Amino acid sequence: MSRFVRPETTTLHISQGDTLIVKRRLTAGEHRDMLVRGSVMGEDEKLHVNPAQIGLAAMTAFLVDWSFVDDRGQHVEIRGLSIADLEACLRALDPDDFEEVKTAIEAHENAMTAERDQEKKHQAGASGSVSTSPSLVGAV
Amino acid sequence: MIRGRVGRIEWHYFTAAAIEGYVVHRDGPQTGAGRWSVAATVVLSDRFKLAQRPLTFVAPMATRTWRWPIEQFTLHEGGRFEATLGPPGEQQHVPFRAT
Repeated sequence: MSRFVRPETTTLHISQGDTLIVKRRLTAGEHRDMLVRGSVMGEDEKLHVNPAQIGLAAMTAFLVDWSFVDDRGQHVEIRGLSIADLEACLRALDPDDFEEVKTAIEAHENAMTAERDQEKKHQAGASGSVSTSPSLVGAV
Repeated sequence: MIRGRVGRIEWHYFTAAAIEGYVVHRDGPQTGAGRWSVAATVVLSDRFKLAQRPLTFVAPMATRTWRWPIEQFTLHEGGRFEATLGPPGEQQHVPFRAT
């Protein structure tokens, strides 16, 4: 089985018939980038949560597309946007709608984490502990 | 012939390469089957993602986005990109729902 993340998506249904298309899982690179965006170096030279990025880092990491339209009824294209452009687009949402998208994506992230944990438990149960090469110590 | 400035190559939702300047050609009859090709300049690329399949050449326009499946491609030194393409699909930026 491949250790690489397959680029699969899930459709989340939210209010008013709208949908969010999100990545099922993040790659290691996307995950690390999300953590970097969500943290800021403090004056104490320690990493702290970046309050401006609370929720936003996960939203920009997971969101692929949505059904949202502008005032003219035109689909607002977000597929392929840079993180900065996607952030700008999300920041332009009504605060309540921003919160709804954030909540939906956080719930998806939690569900995927739980699913992954279950898979790990299943794999560990099936294969036992991590195998190691036998030691030659004491063989002579 | 379609000329454009900004495009990209996608592997599913991933951007495998960013394109700055492209020309898409169509040879053969204007109706029915024709052969599509693109010559472009790649400015950023991810070798792993470019090695995956299927790849799609994406050309965003003001109110629509054209998408061609990439059949074969060559990425030359310096970022010159040439590919043969399958028939295009078009995604208009229209409402997904009545408002």
